[in-house]
Amino acid sequence: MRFTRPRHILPRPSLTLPTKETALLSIDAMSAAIGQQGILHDISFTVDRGDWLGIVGGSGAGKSTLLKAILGARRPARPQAGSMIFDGVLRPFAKGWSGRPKGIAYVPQSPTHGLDPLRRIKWQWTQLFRCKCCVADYKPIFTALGLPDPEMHFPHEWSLGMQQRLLLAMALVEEPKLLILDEPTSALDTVIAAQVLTEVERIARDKSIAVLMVTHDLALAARFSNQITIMEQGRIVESGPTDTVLNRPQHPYARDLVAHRAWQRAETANA
Amino acid sequence: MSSILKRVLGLVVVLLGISLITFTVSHFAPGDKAMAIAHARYPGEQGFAPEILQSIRDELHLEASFWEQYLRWLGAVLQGDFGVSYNTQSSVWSTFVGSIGETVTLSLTALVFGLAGAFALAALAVRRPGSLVDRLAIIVASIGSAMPIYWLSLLLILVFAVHLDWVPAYGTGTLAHLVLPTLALAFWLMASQTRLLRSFILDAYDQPFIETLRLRGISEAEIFFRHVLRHAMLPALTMIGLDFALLLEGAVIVEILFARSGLGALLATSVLSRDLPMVMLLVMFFATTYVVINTLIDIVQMASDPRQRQGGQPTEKSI
Repeated sequence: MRFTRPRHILPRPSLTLPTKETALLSIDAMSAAIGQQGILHDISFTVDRGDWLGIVGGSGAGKSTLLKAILGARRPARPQAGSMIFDGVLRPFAKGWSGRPKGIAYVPQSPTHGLDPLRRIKWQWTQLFRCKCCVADYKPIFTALGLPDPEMHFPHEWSLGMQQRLLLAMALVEEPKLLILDEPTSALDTVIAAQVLTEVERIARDKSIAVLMVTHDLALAARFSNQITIMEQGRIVESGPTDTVLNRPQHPYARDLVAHRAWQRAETANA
Repeated sequence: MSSILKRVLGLVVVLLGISLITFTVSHFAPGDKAMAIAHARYPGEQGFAPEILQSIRDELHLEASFWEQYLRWLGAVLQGDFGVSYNTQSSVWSTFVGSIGETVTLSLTALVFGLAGAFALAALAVRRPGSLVDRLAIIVASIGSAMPIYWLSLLLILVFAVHLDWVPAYGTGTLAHLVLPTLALAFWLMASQTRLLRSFILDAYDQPFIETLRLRGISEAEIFFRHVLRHAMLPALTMIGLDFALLLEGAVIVEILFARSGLGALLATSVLSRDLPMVMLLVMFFATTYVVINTLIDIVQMASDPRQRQGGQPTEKSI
């Protein structure tokens, strides 16, 4: 007779480290490629509990590839080397794990990137929990974020700001330890983006959630982050506390970014 | 509601225009109509006496002016009278009602099988765009749309009726008679739909929220069946509506080839024998079907897109 082990006593694929590791998330010597073309090279950084890390870079710097790799996506770029430790669990990238680690939640850049326009809000909310066999009541978290009862509404019947706060609610309901924000200003108008970010700031402080924010806007990163990492062409070129990066940038690209920050601000003010 | 009213008004204008064009074409077509009708009425006879031809002209008002003839026809139609056949002298409406069943049966079975085939092929193809399966699906679709339907029908007859002798080559009546015509039409439909469905599905996959669903941990099957298909169906509905109308048209050719007693055979014989009332009724029927089906599809499409249903502005590209 063949004996099959029940799933829950199978050895866990990843290794649990002793808790002396204080960082919530630490990425070590990670690289990723699409086919033969390298996208990310030797990426290492850490996010402590309660930190707000801004990852800044132009388009093509590899910011979103990095973010997707952390969320466990294998496409389009495939992580090849390095490892990630999240909440004390080591995950080597070369081992080919996939799927989002529990405790990391993701807020997409805009409602177009996060909601199916043909499905009711309530349906999309319950879809989140269908696979996990539990139902979270939307009422407390919706009230906390100032959202009305979804009733039978479709996403387009809500304002963009409300839809974006809904996406935030969908991320927060899992009680994550790390919240990933993807380009929070690129697709929304600045007023809505600012409202949502202020909301995130308040909740992150209250519940001591660490935030990892990917953006092309150094001014935005400077406003919210306490740590800044600057990427260029798949490499980290500058990294440190916000003040240090802003006042004493070392790498030429970082210096360039910092020098044009005021100009960038003036342009957003005019727009 | 007002948009539906507009559609109905549009339908009336379209029908008037089409009736006028068809009437004009057959009125000014060369050849002696009385002679053609005499041949149809008395098959096998040669050289008709001038009195017979004249009596046909008088009976059918063939010598009246164009406008008089057209208005005479229109007035009768408005009272629900499509007239009697020039040839058989029986009511064209009852002949039409007697043959429509065959054509609708053929079109609907072909629609069901053709769409099922197209859907299966497209769903297989999009699993891995650019893969061997995908290319094979495109090749099958290209062959199908490059092949004229009458040639495909002849090949089917040759293989399955003549050589293999599995099904009858022509005729009407049993289910076996339906197999080859359905196969020909369904293959033709499948070919035209596969490539479209494939691109609609790929477009639906390109929407930015799909990526987020994956990151949330929603399974690929759920993404396909509960999200992608809905988005792909919106543009696909329009194409299916157009195709059903084309299918009726294709059915005409297929029916003639397989000698089925449907609208196709009726249209062919009445055009050749200058049976104007019959031709007018058939043309009106095809035009009405075309407009009505497309109106229905528009309504269904509007109802299935919440952004349009509630008068909201679609925020993303609509194909």
